[in-house]
Amino acid sequence: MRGESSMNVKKSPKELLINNLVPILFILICAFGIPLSGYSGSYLLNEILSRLGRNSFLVLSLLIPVMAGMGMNFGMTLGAMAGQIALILVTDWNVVGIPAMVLAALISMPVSVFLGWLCGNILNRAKGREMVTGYIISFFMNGVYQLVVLYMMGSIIPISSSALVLPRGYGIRNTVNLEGMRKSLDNLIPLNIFGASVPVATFILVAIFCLIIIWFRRTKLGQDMRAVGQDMEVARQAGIKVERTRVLSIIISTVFAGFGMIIYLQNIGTLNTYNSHSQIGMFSIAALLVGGASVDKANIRNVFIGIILFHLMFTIAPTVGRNLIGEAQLGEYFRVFVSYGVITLALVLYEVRKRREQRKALEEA
Amino acid sequence: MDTAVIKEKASQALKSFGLPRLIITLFLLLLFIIAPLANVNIASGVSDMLTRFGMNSILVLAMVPMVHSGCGLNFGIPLGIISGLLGATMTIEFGFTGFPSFLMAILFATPFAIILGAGYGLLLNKVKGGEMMIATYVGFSSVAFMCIMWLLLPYDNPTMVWGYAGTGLRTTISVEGAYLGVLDDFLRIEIGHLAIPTGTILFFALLALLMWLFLRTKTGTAMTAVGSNPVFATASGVSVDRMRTLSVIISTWLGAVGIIVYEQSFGFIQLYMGPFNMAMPAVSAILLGGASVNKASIANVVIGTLLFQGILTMTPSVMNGLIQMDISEVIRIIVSNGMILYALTRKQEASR
Amino acid sequence: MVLDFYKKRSFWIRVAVIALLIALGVWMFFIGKQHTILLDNNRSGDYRPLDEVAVSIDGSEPLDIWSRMRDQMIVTGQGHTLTVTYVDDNWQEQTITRELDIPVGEVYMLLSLPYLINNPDSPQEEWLTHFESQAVAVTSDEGSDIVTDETAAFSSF
Repeated sequence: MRGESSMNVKKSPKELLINNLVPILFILICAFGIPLSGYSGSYLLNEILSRLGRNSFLVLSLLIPVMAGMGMNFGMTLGAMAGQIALILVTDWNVVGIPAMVLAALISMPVSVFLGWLCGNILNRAKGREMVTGYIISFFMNGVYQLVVLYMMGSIIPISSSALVLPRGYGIRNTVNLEGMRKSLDNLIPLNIFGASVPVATFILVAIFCLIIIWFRRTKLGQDMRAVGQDMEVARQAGIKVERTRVLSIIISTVFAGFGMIIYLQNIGTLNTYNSHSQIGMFSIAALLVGGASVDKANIRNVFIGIILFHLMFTIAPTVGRNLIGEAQLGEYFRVFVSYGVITLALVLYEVRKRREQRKALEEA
Repeated sequence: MDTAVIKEKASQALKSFGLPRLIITLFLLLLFIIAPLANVNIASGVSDMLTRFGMNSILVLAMVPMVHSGCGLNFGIPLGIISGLLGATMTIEFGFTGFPSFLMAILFATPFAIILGAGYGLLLNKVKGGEMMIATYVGFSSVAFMCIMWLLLPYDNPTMVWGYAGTGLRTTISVEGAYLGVLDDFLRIEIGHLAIPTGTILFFALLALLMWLFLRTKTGTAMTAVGSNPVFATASGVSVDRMRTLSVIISTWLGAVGIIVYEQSFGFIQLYMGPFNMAMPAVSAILLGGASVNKASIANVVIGTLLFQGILTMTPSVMNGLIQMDISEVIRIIVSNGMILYALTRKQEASR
Repeated sequence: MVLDFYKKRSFWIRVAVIALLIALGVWMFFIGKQHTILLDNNRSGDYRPLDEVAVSIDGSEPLDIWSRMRDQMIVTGQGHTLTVTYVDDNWQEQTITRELDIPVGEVYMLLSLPYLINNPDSPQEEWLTHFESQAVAVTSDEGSDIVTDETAAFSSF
């Protein structure tokens, strides 16, 4: 409720500028870069629609932990890992198309629930520094993921397809071809506007997820989460099981991140077994922050604005780099820098604001 | 009665030592015990361990000042590393060789470390309580920013720039002819398979001694006071922000020196994404040595680096010899991040 | 008491949901699994190969299979309609339409066309049999070097 109440208060232009610094910066970067890139409108539209389709679900999965006051869920990578494990299995079983996606989603679910439960419980032991802990959990679990995929698959977990297993007899290859389900969701309902193909079915799923989030806010659990997010002690006194609520928020986020990863990879069409997941958390979080979200406040609007702006920058950066300095590599480094820079800036702004509010509260008391 | 007391004491000892550290120590011992079975020479194992100890120990030492001043673990060490890389590339650019090139690298790196460290320290003062996450991302953004800079900066020494373009630094640059092995080969001891990089270890010992002395000076104790009890420190007239900034500068400078020492042993300067993953091993090493988010000593540095590098060097060779399966990379990831997780979730720190 | 009753009901709801999800998964597995049907126009027992057969599954583009040839069709799911068109000894074009039901565990199935054409009403097992695929030895090491570096993901994003 913090967000809504503060919205009613009239704000000075300066405060408005600072609060929306990140999106404004991005609008400037894009406004400057689009003419320099020389891309046509229909190309950009196509690119943005496809990226909007494949990333929305992932970014939306971040919203629920923010509601519970746990900040950006860097542990969403865990869901991505669960999704990838499910995709490997489904590919090995020769299941294709939409059924393959549904099956992968179903398989990823128990794995995500377990990982989310684990992550949530660890985060409960690190209250006040959930983000850095979540970040390290994702690294830690990456080790476990490698142990499973690189050493256990093909030896303990049966994998029969020789296209998946490394020549040495165990471990999954660097890339897994998802030809069987490539764009099967995106092209389920074909539609073209202005020469750009629209992944209608994917957008429908995203819309359903948005509705679920809006509905979820009003449920008992959703209300509890917001109470926990505002003040854990007050929530506890009101009889809310704080720890349980926090764990649930992470579990929900992880499960949806798993689904999101499956949607993401069906669009890409190939799974980079050992690094598709590793940056997904970072890019999703950066996109959400670009949309004007902060660590304690994020809504659906932030998700879509963020993805559009962030991915516009991502698409044009290499070409702008080449046209401007004659080096595409430069643009690639630039977008990596901007991704990290945005997160840094948003985190700093959040901490500074939090400290200012704390001081104000102290002075008033 | 007696058994209860013993049990109590044992559990307390275990608690202070920490279960993960116990497991890892035992694991390392086990590796050394079964090494002969795997046809691994213990002496060369120890040599590798010592070499890598020398390479990494200063980067681990860089964690100490910031932990003391209450800034937490310095996940932003890449910033210091970048200063070091600037120094290293400049000394080669200007054509220094031998031991002077090593000194000049440190000298060139120092102003960068001070300026970057000061800026970084001022930033961290604004975000008290959220240092570690922001430090991580400051590190990452600066690495990404420097990726752009390595391409653009006007270096033109042919040993460093891309041959065909004539501009833009290479991903890896050899330090041969400059300061390769200047410390490692100083007073080097070689007995059979056992080789000890005496110079590197002495250099670390010197810096560790200086750090130890510094922490006992007036400024050093004030720094520790700022970390352990900021309210008390302010009351006794110590400027919390100044102490914190100073600690960050020292940490950044040590990071710069650390990477130069690392390179003189490793043989190459790794630019671009090179410094990206350098923070985690250093952070986990000091934690493995028994440090926590707000407590760290020189002993933690030494023990931690030895244990961590020991695991890293022994696991692959022993595992390979025994089961022809190299899972050392996975073990490295799990051990190092598991250690950080353990430190972040320890109960006594939950209040901070 | 009220709580107990509640607990019990939610418990059963959960069991039902989980069962439903598992059932959905099994169903997806059945309808999404790919099978390869090898269409074989070789001598089968006493039946000699036909000069030319056109095979179509589920109304796909007909595939011509010449004498002593073998080709393959990839199908998804279990139930399929097979249409075989050939020219008989009297130079009359004949069409056989049969329903197929591929066992879910099978990856490769061998379909003997000569047998089917001579016994159009025989049970499926007689002309559609399990085929053990020879494991294709992958000799190329392409993709066998593992990249686990986190930074490698930047370029692929």
